[in-house]
Amino acid sequence: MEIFSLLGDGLATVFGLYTFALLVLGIFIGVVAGALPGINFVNAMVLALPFTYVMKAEQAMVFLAGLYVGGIFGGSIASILINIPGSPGSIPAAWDGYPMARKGMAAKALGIAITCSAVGGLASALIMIFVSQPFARFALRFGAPEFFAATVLGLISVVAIARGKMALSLVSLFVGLAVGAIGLDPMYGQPRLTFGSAILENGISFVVVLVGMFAIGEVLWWLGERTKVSFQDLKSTRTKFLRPKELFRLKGAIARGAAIGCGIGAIPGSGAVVGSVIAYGVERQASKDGDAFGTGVEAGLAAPETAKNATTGTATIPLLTLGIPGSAATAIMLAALMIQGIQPGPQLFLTSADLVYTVFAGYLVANLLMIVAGLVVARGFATLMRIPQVVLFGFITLLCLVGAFGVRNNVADIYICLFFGLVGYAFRRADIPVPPLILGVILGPLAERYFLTSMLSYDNNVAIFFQRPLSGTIMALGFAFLAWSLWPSVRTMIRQRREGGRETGAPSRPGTVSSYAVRREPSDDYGPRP
Amino acid sequence: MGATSGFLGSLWLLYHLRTSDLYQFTSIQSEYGPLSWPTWALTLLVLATGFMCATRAVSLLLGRRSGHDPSSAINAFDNVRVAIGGAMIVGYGVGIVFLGFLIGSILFLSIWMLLGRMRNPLTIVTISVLGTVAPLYLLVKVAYLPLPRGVGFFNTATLKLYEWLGIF
Repeated sequence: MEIFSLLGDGLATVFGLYTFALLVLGIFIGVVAGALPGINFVNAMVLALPFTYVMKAEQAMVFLAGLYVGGIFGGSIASILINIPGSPGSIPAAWDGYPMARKGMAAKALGIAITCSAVGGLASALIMIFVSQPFARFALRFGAPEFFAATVLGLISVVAIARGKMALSLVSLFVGLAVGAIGLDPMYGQPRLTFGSAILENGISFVVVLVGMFAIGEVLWWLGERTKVSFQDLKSTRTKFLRPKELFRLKGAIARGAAIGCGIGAIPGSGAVVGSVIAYGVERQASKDGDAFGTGVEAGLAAPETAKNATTGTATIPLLTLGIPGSAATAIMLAALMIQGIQPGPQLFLTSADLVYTVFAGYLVANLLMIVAGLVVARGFATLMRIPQVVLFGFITLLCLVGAFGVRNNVADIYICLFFGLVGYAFRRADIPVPPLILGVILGPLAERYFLTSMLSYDNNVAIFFQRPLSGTIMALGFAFLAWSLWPSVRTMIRQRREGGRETGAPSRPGTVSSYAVRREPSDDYGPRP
Repeated sequence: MGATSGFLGSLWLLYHLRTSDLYQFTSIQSEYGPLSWPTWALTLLVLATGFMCATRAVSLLLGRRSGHDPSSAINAFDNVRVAIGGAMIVGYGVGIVFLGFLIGSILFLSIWMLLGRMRNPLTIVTISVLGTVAPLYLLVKVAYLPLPRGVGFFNTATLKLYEWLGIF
């Protein structure tokens, strides 16, 4: 009953005039940013970060939650209407949504996308509400070794998700760990890798790295692209909602999508892209119309759309309960909390339960309001597409540098941000995934602190991570996850050797493993622009 | 090329770390000290980039083609635009320290839009000024963010403009 009481208080806060206005604003910005090809909603979250300075913690989190939920959905509008996914998580929406639009069913496809995204998001928010507190209570038993093990699990899962780009993901992760190690060490206060620079002694803020790698890197990428598509002739489209009977017909696809999305979302490093693509693949196997997928099948749109938004709530669970962000979107939320002087973790549920439940309530309301925002943005999409991209990217640059400066009110952060912008561009040119680097910068210092604390407390006994039941279990889970993730690659290698290295040459279809490997990105919200 | 420079770079950083005075401190104080974590991170980076170099070297020796056509990558990207745009962004980042955020941003946005082939002066001026003043007002007036005001004349000019805009 305590949960309902706290949730009631949270809802009351969310429906406060200023907070509610921020939530609505966040959702609209998210949907618009997601819908505009080239403007990733995570870029929008990064750019929104400096504006959270003027907000209270719960307002900042509700605003970002709205942006996250709206942004995850927004990409589907562009996928369905113009066959260009607005964000990587919306790639499967183009596979069946766009063919539906080509058949003159754009309004219905948008209706399916909005309804299913809202259902998936609500399911995920409910799971977050009822799972987070028991998990946080459980996590109160964690000591430094358990937190270290949990951080290692986070690092492993980031790499494990990156099947197909394993070596590049590892390089990215290790660069992130090295960048995270710059500055004074957390135990002895000794400078490392600073080269005598006072600026580097304070370390490199992951927010600055995030802003540089994604936003400035994105601007440079956009500059380099030769093909600029014009949408001057695009016409506005209405949305047609599903009738209850039609919705009921899709219940299987929605249920499977929600289950997959909620499960995938909780795994650090995965998220909307992985969730939606796996949901599409599973639905293709489960549906009796599986062979027609890719030609405009409703279930082929419903399942990934549900899964995509079903990742949002569960992705927030590790952030709030352990203080470990599993994706770039939740990393920005972590940054917003830290700007407010709040460190998430199990203690947060004891010290700031009101904040936590306001965030939960924010997710619930955001998923409902997203329907309205989706309708409005879909209707005005044609107008949106007429905004000159040069203006958008000019403002992205401006807000990036302000955001980087605002982290510590330090001009040096602007230079660091610019440097990482160039690195981000170079990474994308070299096809190196960026998310592992970001998570390395965030999780590396955490892992180091927990490791050194454990070593001090347990007399330099490294085996302690395996001797304590909880940390041992988490470590075993991490290695099992790694083995499970590597197994398909190993199996393929063995099979190829057995077959004498013969190539199959079969064309890939949407939702198949091969197409997934080509299309997917290793994290939900940050792949290269589709 | 990238893998080799990454390998050499990380190897140099590791060497720098291992030869620093702090390394002695680590071995005296504790088995696991301030340099343990960065040493492991860099060692892993050396191994990963080394593995990539080795893989590519083996592929070259065996005469395998990578399937990646460099000419297509060159054609797909406009490197001149990236260089000009990148220089503008870096120039803007460095410039706002001397020109101040207000003047620097208006200048940057105006030139950016001009280079982006926008030709209507009214549109350019309106977007640049409003697009700079709106976030400035919110960040400086409301959030008390001390955005750079520039040096010398630009500092004085920015302060005058702040007063005129009601920010100060």
